Order: sequence, then C-alpha cells, then structure tokens
Amino acid sequence: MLDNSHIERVAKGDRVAFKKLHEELYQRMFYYVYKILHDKEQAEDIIQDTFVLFWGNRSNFNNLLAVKTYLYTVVKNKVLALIRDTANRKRILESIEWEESTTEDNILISAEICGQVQQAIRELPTQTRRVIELSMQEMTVEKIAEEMQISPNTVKTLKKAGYQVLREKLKHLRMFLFFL
Amino acid sequence: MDNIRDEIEIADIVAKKLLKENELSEEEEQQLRRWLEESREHEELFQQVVGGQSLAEFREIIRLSDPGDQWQRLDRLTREKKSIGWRRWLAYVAGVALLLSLGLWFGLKQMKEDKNVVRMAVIESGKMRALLLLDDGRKIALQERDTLVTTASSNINIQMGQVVYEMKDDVQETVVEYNTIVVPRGGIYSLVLSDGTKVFLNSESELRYPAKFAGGNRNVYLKGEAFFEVTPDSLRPFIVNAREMQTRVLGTSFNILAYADEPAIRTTLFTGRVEVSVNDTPLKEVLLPGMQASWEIGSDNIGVKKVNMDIQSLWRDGIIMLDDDRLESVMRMLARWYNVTYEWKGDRNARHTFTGKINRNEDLGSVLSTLTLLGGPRFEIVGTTVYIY
Repeated sequence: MLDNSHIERVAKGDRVAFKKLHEELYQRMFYYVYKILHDKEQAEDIIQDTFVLFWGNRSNFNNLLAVKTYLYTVVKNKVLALIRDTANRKRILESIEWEESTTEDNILISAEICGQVQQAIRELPTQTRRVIELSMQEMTVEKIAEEMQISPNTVKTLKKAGYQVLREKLKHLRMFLFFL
Repeated sequence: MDNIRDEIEIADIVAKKLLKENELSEEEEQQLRRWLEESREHEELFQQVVGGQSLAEFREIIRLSDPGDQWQRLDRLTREKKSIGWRRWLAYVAGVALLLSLGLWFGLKQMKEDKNVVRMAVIESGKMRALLLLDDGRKIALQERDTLVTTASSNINIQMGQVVYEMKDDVQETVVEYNTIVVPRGGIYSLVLSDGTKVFLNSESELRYPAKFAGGNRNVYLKGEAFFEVTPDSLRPFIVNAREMQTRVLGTSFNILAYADEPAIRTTLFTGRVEVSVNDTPLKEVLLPGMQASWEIGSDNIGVKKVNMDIQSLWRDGIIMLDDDRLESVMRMLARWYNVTYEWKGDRNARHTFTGKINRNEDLGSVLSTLTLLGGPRFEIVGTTVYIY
C-alpha cells in the first residue's frame, strides 16, 4: 500500500511512483464522482484534470493524507461547479431522488473505505490471486494447474491459503460478493 | 479542506478496523464511536460497509472505467501539455445525433399510429426469453425476429420485441381471448397489457391475461413472481389471482411473490392502495405503500409488516437481494435464476444466514464460491445439479 515515502518519491518526479499512486486512487475517486454525477465521461474527465493539476503541484506534498485531501477537494469542487451548470442541474436532481439521502460526504467516506478494502484484496500474492480467480470461474484444480503450468498440489495449497487469507483479512465483513 | 480531511481520517479508521482486527488505538476507537453516534446516516453507512452492500456496489461502479486506459491519457498529458476538450466536443456531436434519431423515431411512431392498428401488448425483449401460449393451443417462442401469428380474433405481429395486436373487423367484442406468457427458469420478461398496465415477470413465472380486457373487472392470473404497475381505471378494478390469494387494486404498483415451492405468498405495495384476500376465507388486509402482506399457506392470518421497498423489486434489475436469508431459501432463488436443481448431501438445517446482493450476470460457480467463503457449505456442480455438502 501507499505510504509517505511513496509520496516523497512522487514529489521528486518519479513517474513509476506516480503511476502507482494513480492506480491505487483512481477507482475510489471514480466511484465518488460517478455516484454524484452518474456520468462516466464527465467523471473520467474530472479525475483526469485533477491528477494533471496535482502533478503540477507535486513538489508541495510529503504525506499521503495531504495528497488524498488535495485530490478529493479538487474533485469535489469540480463536481460542484459542474452541478451549478444549469444544463446539468435538472438531470442530476432527478437521479439524486433515487439515492435516498446519501450526502456527498458519506459517498466520499464509502469510496475511501471500499477503495482500501479492494486494494487489500488486490495485494494477495499474484499466483494466489490468479488461482482464486480461476477457481471462482469454476475451473478444476487440474485445469488451473495446466493453465498456470504448476503442479495440482501447488494449486491446492495456494487455493487453501488464498481463501484463508481472505477470510482472515475480511473477517469483519458479514458479506462480500463479486470480489476477485 | 478540514472537512474532507476529517472524512478521509474516519474512512482510514474504518478500513483499518475491517482489515486488521484489534489494531485500532484507544484514540481511534473513540473517534470512530463519536462519529457513529453523530448521526443515523453514519451508522447506516457503517452497516452497509460491514454488510458488504457498499463493496458490491463499489465493484459494480468501478467496472465502468478502466484505470489502465485513464493512465495512458494521464501519462500523455503530464509529459507534454495538450488540450483536453475533444471528448466534450465528441459528446456534443453524439448528443445532436441522438436528438436527430429521437426525432426520427417520434416521426415514425406518429406514422404508425395513424394506421388503424390497435396496440394491445408490448413485450420488451433483450437477452430475455419467454413463451407465448395462445388460446387455440399454439405456442410461440418470443424472440427478436419478426413473426406474424393469426388467431380467430386478431393478427399478432411480433417484431423487434414488440407484440402488436390487430383486431379483425368481423369479430364480436364479447369474445375473450386469453393468452399466457410463460417465463422459464433463467428468463425474465416484461410486457404491457392492453390497458397499459406494465408487468415484469421473474424467472419461472406465468401470467394469463385476456388479449383485450372486456367490461367489469380486469382479471389476470399469476404463478411465480411479478411486479405490476397498474393503469388507473376507477370503474374496472384490476385483480391479480395468485394461487389462493387475490390482490385487488384500482391503480398502483406492487410486487407479488407466489411460487409453488415457497411456503408463503407475499404482496408488497409500492404506491397507491391494495386489498389482499385469501380465497374461501374471510381473511382480508388493506395495504399502504411500503407494507408487505404475507400469508403462510394454510394459516389463519395474514401478516403485515413494513419492508424496504428498494430490496423488494431489485430482481427486475437482475439482482438477487439476500436479507438475512437461510441457505434453503437462497438455494430456491438460485435454482430459479440459474435453472439448476440442487441436492443436500450435508446438514440442510444449518442456521447460517446470508445478507447481500448477487448480480445475476455473475456465473453460478463464483456465487457459490462466495457463499462458501462467507461461512456457507461447500458446493459441487455436476451438470445442472448443485450438490451441497
């Protein structure tokens, strides 16, 4: 996961570190904007612009919390500006009625939590993750072994270990579907 | 700025609590407690996260946009400066094109309605499938290709997923022709009856209805589950006969669940007012929006309770909502959605319950794996049978 030293690398202009930062934060920001605007293209554009701004200011940051605060603040301002645009107002109000009373603040919190949980799952060791993905597609141990060119016994071990890690990591979740 | 910072901090604490048990400091625990007590919305948000509903939704939404593609764009933009307005321009062009085609569509529609065609039923298709049974015993598989069917009283034209009835001139009004739509396991279908009432039929369900409603009551007969949006007509009550239960309405929307293998018949009211009664008994209840009437087959009362309406009709969007459901009832639902049978190899009375959403686009294997992962039993799929261990 991201930490402050990672941010320091980005601040110095490390593009690999920047890519990783984008990779980890993109989806939760997309969720946040999409939940409010219900428009994929607009959401993508807003986040794009925000990251471009951030890159221009990168040298001012030295910790993750500050980066996230900056990104969400810029995104939120852009979203609000767009809502002020009368052409959009009506359509958005209509869709918000269906959302009951989830406010922007709560959406932001959900976005962050879900983003972090999702990331934790993505960080299973690559091979383990692959085994779990494949077994969830109803592939037998033998098939997976063939596909990944490892022994069936290794598949079994990885599978068991993977489920165990997931169960352990997510023991506070009563339910989670469509993971992996 | 401070506001957003606080929100991120709370999110960090919750995520930490979810992912790493017992690692919250005393101060963090307090901060979380204070936040939860602050408002009911916070408490709800927390429950939705812990219950997995938020994550399921998160997964659905992030699927819409590919981070890799976005990085490619960002990578170009942050290396060399370029204008980024092209996408909006493209959207504008697309908008104009859409307006043009809508105009064209309305134009066509106008032309069509000028002809002397009575539009009696619209059946919306998609990847949906169903069977239309005619009064004279013929069966027609409803597909998207064009078909013309002639019956005693009408020509039924099925094209582009729409069914249009043209009544023949020489037929007397009194002839009531009944049609039946049968939706098989794994299917889902919607149609519009001749009075404009919309019906969404769930898997393994049947609706028998007159091609054209004659005077008096508007009677239809349901097996399985359906959601109705009834066109108001104060002179002709709309009556759904579902197994032993009658639901009588004037103009309203509601959901009825009456599968043969379920232990109860349930009617959930969304808008308006309905009266439910059980055949051959004095049992009768009037429902207000948000209420569900439930009659256990053979029992001597109708239970009425308030329910979450959003959950009750999610099946129309292809989502199975589990709300503290026991494995047995989860299996009945899955069998209908995925057209499989199941067999118990282990203890069928396990008390474990499940809460969450299942998207029917998910394949059965991954749904079952998830159930296992959540503390359910182990499953094995052989052909179209699921064995439960």
